Amino acid sequence: MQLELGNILVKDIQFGDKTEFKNGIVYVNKQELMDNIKDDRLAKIEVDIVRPGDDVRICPVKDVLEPRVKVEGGGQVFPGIFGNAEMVGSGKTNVLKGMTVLTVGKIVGFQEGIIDMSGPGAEYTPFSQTINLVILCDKVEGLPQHEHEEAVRLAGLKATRYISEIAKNVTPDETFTFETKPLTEQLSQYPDLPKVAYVYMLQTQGLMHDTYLYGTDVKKILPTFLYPTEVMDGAVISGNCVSACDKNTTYHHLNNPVIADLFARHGKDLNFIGVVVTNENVTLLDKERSSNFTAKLVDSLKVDGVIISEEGFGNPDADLIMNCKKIEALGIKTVLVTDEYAGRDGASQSLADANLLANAVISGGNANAIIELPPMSRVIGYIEASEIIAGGFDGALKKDGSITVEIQAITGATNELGFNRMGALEF
Amino acid sequence: MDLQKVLIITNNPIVKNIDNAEICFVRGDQRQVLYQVLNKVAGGHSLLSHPLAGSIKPEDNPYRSVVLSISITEANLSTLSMLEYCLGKVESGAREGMDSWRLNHLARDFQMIDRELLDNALQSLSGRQV
Repeated sequence: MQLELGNILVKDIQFGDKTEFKNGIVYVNKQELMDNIKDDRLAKIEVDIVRPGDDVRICPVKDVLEPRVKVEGGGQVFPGIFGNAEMVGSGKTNVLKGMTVLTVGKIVGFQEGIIDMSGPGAEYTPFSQTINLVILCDKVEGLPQHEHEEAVRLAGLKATRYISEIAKNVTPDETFTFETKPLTEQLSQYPDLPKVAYVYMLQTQGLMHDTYLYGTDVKKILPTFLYPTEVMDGAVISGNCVSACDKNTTYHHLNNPVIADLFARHGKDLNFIGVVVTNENVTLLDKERSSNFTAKLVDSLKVDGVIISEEGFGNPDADLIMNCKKIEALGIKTVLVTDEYAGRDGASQSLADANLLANAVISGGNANAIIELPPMSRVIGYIEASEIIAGGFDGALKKDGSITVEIQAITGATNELGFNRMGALEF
Repeated sequence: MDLQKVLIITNNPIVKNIDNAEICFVRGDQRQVLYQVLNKVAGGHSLLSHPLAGSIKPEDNPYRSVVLSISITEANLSTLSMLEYCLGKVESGAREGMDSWRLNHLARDFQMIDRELLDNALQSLSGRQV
């Protein structure tokens, strides 16, 4: 399966009479956009534009998406949400690079994220570096949380799809081609290089903890094989609003850095065989079943090693360790990508599970670390949510608008795909 | 729901009247729930749902419901070891301090999220011999 990604570099987003792409600028007809995403369950939709360096705080962020559109090849971006779940991942896809569509909504009283476009908080989120089309959604009175979450999720997807259409006939500024051959061919392509697969764990525990694969709820699937380029075409989308720092937004899925880095080294010092997607469910039986199937699938791929990325923390630590133990038991090396909840002083136990076989672990950082966020002149969303956000605490919001929070509150701060700017230096 | 009888240890007041479930209500926070779970697992009940909530810190959500088997067999040492890790996390979170403002303002949301995770577990266990 071969996919050419064509990046169209976006210099700015502006409101205009017509939704179009011209001279590097995405023009958006606001009313037409709102007509495209209206939903009886949403009482109010507001659309805004924010840019890197703006004195703006956005909170609470629900999802972040990137406009992509199929130019050649089967299916549609976000398959299963749009279209008939036709296979994606081949042909050509254009990307509006440098911008996002970002949804904001208060679904329950806690647990979404903060994005600061400038100041110290901006250092912790990749979305301070993108031009963001912000869609703020308010629900109608009495709407149950399940439906509210779905309405906001669909508003983001529909807005992204609407914007992406303008990219269809634009010549990209840069193109990148990615290819994974059918399994038997891929296995023999680079006989002298170690064969590596990627185990992609997805948060799937229920309301506000869900992820969708080709439109289906991932908690209900058994682990399955994907070509990496399917992920680039939106096969995986986020319905996960919990723990802003280490949830994977849809943008993270589309731009998964584990997949990007494995492709960058493909044919050089490793042979990237493909992706196994698996879930993180509630019962121990589900965890055992999914990790058994993950190990079986990895075994059948005849690889030498796997990268395993976790999503979330606590309960999913058990899935991470089960996957690690069972794959290592097959004689296949594992590298785990996670983050830590090691207390505000960093001295506590980092994960809720551990094993001696988990001896190669990459950390996205300590989510409990405290940060002071200075006041911003403008807030999009609901600043009062910051007191009751994950990582916030009593008195977190000061009278001057500054906030003291754990970096857990910041969208993408300790992302477990490695899509962040945190690192460590050894002296 | 074709659910074999199970035992639910909970401190969540909206967990009640569930078919085929014996509910053991614990007065206290998530730590007390998990220590009760530890007692039951040490006594031979099988742990059916994971003791920690998904991606919500124990000190953020005080409510927790955990599902165990009604039947008793020999105590499972690996489950006890996992519970020890989980209790380690809960205890270290508790040292950071629970936030009374948060608890008072968000009790209903916290209870609803816990109930949602419990319902998912019961749904998944439906039809299983436990």
